[in-house]
Amino acid sequence: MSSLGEYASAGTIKCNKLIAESIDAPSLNSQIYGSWDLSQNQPAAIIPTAISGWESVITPNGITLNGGNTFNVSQIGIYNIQVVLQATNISSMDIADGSITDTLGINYTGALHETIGGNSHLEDIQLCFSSLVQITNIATGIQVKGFISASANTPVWSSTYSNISIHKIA
Amino acid sequence: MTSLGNYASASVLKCNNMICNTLTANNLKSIYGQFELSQITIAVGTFTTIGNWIPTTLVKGVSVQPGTTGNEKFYVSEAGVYEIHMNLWAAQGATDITRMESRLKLYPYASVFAGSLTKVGTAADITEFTQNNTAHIEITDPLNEYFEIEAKVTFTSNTPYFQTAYTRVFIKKIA
Repeated sequence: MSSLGEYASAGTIKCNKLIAESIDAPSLNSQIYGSWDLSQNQPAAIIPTAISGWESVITPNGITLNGGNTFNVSQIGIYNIQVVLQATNISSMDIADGSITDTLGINYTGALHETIGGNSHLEDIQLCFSSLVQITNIATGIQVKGFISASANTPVWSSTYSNISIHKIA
Repeated sequence: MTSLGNYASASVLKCNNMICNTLTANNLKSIYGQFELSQITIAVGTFTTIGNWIPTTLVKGVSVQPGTTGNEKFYVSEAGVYEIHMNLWAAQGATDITRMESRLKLYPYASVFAGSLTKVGTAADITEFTQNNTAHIEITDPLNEYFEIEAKVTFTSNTPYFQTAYTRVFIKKIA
């Protein structure tokens, strides 16, 4: 590695236009990302519970999955998180609920589908939601929680389309 | 243009703080695109690629090319990781939509990268709704890899279609 000589010690270097083949600058934040889906259908709890069983769709960069349900990022910053949950049951579901939370217990956002009387005949529903999450301590993990209420059968979070994508934007 | 003199040929230069009015880096190019439907598009009960996509004014380095059903093949100009969002607004005259499924497929592998499914066992008076999908995909061969959006809608009568007002595709290179 070469330094900028006398300019390296300057607090700020200013130019009007910089052309480079490759720039690695932590402040630009465009290189931390990951996308995961479920490796198999996951049984849905009846109270909000962190969903497990994620597997990477593309090779993640700067994000690790721990304990099957917790995403830890390598840098503090602001992350754009997008979630699609597919709730499935053989017969109708009354409530399907999903949310983006962290390991500190903060609930950022979510989606809810609820019907009255358990006679909706709803067999598949998507919950699609997104949030910006500021991570100030990389020990704080991101989780997706969910629950399903159904009058019969065993509802699951389907592996077909359930997905989470995380991307650092600042 | 002023060069960095002896340092211009160095493979790596490091500084703590740099301010630039314009920054051009081949690995950080802005590549993005927003596309919409040129007309309402008929939906059928088997998976069919949605055509009729047209670019909005917000397009750079992304294009849609013709295929068997219309303008349907999304190509990007550079290899990298892309974030894709889809909003599909399905409408049906006055009777029930009983199932809608949409998905993103990466070709030439025909791999499914994202999708959504809404299904009711018995008619439930759904006449319109919007389905959203999101995905990250990695393009390694931008000349030969492209993606398409497929959907199918089942219903009790009439002919469902995708509305133009809210149906969109958003593409952004993120790495």
